[in-house]
Amino acid sequence: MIPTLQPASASMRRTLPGGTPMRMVLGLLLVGWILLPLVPVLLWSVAGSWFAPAVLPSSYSLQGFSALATADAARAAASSLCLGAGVAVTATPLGYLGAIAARELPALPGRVVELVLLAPLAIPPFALVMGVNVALLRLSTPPFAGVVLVLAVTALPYTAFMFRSALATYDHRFEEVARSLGATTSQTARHVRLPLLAGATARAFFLAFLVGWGDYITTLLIGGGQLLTLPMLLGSAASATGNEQLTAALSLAIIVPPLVLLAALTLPASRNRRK
Amino acid sequence: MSSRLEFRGLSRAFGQAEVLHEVSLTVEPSRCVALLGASGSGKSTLLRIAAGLDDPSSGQVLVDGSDLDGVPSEERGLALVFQKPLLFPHLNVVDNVAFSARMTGQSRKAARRHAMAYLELVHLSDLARRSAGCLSGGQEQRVALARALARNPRILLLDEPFSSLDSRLRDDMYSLVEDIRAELAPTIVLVTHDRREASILADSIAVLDEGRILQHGPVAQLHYQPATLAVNRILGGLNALSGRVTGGIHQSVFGRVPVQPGMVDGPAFLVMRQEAIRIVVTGEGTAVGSVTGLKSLGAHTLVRTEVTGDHGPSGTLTIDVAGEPDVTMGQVVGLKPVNDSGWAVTR
Repeated sequence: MIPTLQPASASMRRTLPGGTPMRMVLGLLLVGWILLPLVPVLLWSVAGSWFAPAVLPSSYSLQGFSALATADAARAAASSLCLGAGVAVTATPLGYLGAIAARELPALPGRVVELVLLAPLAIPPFALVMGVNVALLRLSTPPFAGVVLVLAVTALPYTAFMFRSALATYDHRFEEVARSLGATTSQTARHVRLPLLAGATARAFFLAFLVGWGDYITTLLIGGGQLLTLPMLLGSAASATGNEQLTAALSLAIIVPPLVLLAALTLPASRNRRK
Repeated sequence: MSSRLEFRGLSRAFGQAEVLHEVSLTVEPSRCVALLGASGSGKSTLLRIAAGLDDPSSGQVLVDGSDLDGVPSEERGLALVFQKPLLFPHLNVVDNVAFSARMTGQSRKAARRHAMAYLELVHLSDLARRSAGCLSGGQEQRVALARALARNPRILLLDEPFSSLDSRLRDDMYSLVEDIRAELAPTIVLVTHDRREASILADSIAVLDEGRILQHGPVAQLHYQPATLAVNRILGGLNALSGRVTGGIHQSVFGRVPVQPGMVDGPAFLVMRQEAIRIVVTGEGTAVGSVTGLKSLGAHTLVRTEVTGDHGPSGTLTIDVAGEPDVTMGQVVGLKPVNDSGWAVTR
């Protein structure tokens, strides 16, 4: 006997109860959960004085930001930028190659490659750094290069994951069409594969950049104090008392640039989707 | 632009599974051959081998007599159109069509000028600046066709390019292919599982089944003179009556029907297409049958009859009648070959 379709019971429903209003409330809660921790940082960055138990600062000032306008801060920002870019430039192609290997190799070797790519996620950064710093010192590796190398390993799982996801939906027949239209292997890579993977490349680059831009522990231990970055300045400011305004301003200096970069990467994509 | 394509003893195996077995086929310049077969029959593999996207286990692909072994895909001068249009999403319509010209080193301006001529050929020059993602299915496939033609290929390979389109769009595409053939006269190899499409577009049909070419010949020949029962089935023939050939006459429940010359005496199947049988008044035909089914195909109706006779066990014959037939279920009718002759096969 062919069964007839019964209406789904409440327990069978997969959508959230409450419809659109509930989805909006949950969405706002999620946004609040992400943004609320930033509110005290924002307030401290413009606070002149703020004493407990006052909910808001009693006076406002830009002294935190003006304290940032120093040669050290500029050097730290430049170092952070170079470190983020260095890690991204190293980890992005490596992640691509890793993802390609994991996809193209037979099942077992492919899994082994995946395991190797994801392994840095399972290793606490501190343990990884402590094992590597002695070896880098013995090899007389310059601090910047050492930090970039170690952070590239940390960033590799993210970049590989980005490319793995992109390659899972990538249709290789685009390349076959290109070849049949007269494109050589290198032309196909340049004019078809690269543009089609541009989104994934940008996302992978961004994540790897973040690893370098925001790192503290690796920079401290491998850099041996010779590499001054924004997180190093922040750590130094946060460890002292009475520096709350500068600490908050430094925090924002670390938070805002990646957010701007993220917006630059995601907003055009969402506009294209709407089109 | 057009060249002669020849597959010579081509085989392809994936592990233990042999997808193509000793396939030999010749496509003359400016002709259109349809490779007709079910899914998994090996027809797309044959096309991929021709395009240089896959290598044969043995055998040769020759274009104008030259062996293409070792020639990379981009140097073969063959263009391939897939079932999915696969327009490059990062390029607009004109730049998709201009792709091959750009790859040869032409300037963007010259490549676009070249592409516009092909967009006009497929009646889409108005959409040249549109994003590739903003086209309908039919428009996408037209652009894909224009892009392939803009390469000026020696041979055009079409891998079920219209199977995802609705029937009206498909008919439009058939007209377009006719226009293209009239204008450019390319050699075309069309892979399809649709016998109607093969019959409309191709000059000849090669029937592929389990990696072997069962028969290659003109469209009408395959329909009315199939080499085997399998070809008859794949071409949509519904009737095959067992019987015996004696002195050029096939005897079965359908009566005594003259068959093709050269048919040796012995057991054989009479293959009569449903369109080649007429319903007549009882007594005027070679056999009588009782109507057991009526199936409307819109403008046509399939009349299914159970035929009994003196020359063998009962059998089923289906007749394609234009319009609505003047018969009822259970009615006894006379049946007669349209040309008073039939076609016999032994297997």
